[in-house]
Amino acid sequence: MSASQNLLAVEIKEAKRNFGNVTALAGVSLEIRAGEFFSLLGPSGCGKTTLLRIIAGLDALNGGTLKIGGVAAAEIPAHQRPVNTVFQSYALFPHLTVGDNIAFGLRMKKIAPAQIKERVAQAMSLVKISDLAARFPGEISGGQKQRVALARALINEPQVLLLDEPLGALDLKLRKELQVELLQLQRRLGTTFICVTHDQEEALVMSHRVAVMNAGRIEQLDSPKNLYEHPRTRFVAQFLGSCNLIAGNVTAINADALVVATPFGVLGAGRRNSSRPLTMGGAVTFAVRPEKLTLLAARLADQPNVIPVRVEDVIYNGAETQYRLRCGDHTLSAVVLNASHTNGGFKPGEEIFAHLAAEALVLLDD
Amino acid sequence: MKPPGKLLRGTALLLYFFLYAPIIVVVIFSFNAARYGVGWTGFTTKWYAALADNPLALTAAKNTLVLAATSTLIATALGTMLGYGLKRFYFPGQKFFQSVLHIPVFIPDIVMAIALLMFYELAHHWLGWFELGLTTMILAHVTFQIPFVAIIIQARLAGLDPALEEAARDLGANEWQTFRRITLPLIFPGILAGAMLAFTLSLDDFVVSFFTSGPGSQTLPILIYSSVKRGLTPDINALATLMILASLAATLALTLLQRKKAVHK
Repeated sequence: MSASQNLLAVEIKEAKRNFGNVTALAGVSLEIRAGEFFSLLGPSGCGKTTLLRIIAGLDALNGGTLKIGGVAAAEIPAHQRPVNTVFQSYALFPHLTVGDNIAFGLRMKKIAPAQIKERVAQAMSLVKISDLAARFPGEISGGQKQRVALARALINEPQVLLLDEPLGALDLKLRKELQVELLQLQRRLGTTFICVTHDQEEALVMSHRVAVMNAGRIEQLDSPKNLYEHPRTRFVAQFLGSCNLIAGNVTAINADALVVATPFGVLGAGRRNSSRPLTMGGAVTFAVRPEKLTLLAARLADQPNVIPVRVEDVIYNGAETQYRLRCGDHTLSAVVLNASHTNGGFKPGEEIFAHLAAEALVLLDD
Repeated sequence: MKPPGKLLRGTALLLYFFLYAPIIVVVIFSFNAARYGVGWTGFTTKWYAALADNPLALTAAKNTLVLAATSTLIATALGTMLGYGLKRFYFPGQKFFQSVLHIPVFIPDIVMAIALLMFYELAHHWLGWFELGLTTMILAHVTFQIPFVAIIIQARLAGLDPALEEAARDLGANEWQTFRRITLPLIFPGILAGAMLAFTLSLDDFVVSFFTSGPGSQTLPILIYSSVKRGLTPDINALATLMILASLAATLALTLLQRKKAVHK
């Protein structure tokens, strides 16, 4: 694992792509390690699919370079690249059986028929569809189609498998099952997977690393945990899960802490994870995850970062309760695990206190 | 679905009556023993037997089939390539070619016929080519068939998920293999429908054939026209009935072929 991680499966430098006046990629640089499950995450129109199609050879760069497995690939036509794609619509050939669909790549390579038969059988058992060989794509379910598309791509033993919203067309339950299966498959095969998705949970669950894209650029590239815990921009903070944004002005800067005047009162915060130059009186923004807020019925004496709030809305969710809290003209959202409630929760209209621990305040770059 | 109201039902019946009554009359009168007039004097099949002994009718039938089959074959091949090329490739003037593709469909037959005739006359005068006959008729038919085939192919291509061709390329197929293995089988019903339409258009074309035919290349529509000038006769009815039968058989065959295809979807 460690040896293969030093190799780069895909190397992209300053990738640019325009469609007329629309910029799909505004200079994206990216290194994807061999054997990693990498996700491109972002809203529609952020350029993630364009980037995937450029790696596949189905779209071309207007500028920048692309290497696959260390080899310059921008000029290699799609059918000669060592990558295969699982398409969003699956794109199974409707006039061919499942077996012939899966065999297609090997037939194009003129592999001996006996060997094709054996490898098709292997690929089908890998994705658990061994009994579907004679069916046509029109006769199988969405989940089965997804597996056929996966087998059809993997049978070619690509250096990189590209997945375009692989689970987007499936219902929630099936999606969750296949997420785990896809993840296990990738860990077992060790093939580099590059997955495009707009579903943040999918990206967090399956990936080693995630690049969050917005407007043709990479906003942040990090492990799922770092992306969630230490978002660097407002966009990342709000795209992954829900987030409170608190703006304020710096009133004191210490070696490892700063004090900020906010509409919620004066708050102390750590300086960790901030590349932003700080100035006295300068504007800053913090991200606070709703579950990092602690709700208190009464204020302890002299406890810092505690603000008085009024409960506006209470939404019971089963495992947890969501609170909307008001403080003057501003609102905060908080999520509390119901198992951790000692008194059965708070009621709308109650005047309580919210504790925003210094570690929970993540200083953003923008 | 609720059943249609009385007014709608009446309108529909009237419509079908106007569509099919004349055809039914032709079929019925092809079995009428009377040589002249519209009186029914008894059932007979002798007009069909008479057709078999009529060398003019047989030659015309042969010409019609040769013309329709040859022009359909050429027009289907060219029309398919044209439709595919205009849809899948980008080149200077593409938009222009795409928009002029439809013009032959709208041009009145008579204008097309005279234009072709003039072209053939001029070409014959200057180059010595294009003496009027079956060859000029085939070329003329191909000319008006191509846009119909191309338009049907384009409609079929438009309904095709572009990801299918991309998937083929992604799986290692070059451009020709992608066309041969994926695109062609998938647009085949469209090609068949285009060929069928082209065949039918050729089969019953009168105006263009009339202007571009030469001595000895008379087709059934031309024969019928010149016979009718001498008065309506039952053997013409028999001939017409056979043509209706041929069209029906072709349509039925096409429907069956498409149904067989549809099972796979």
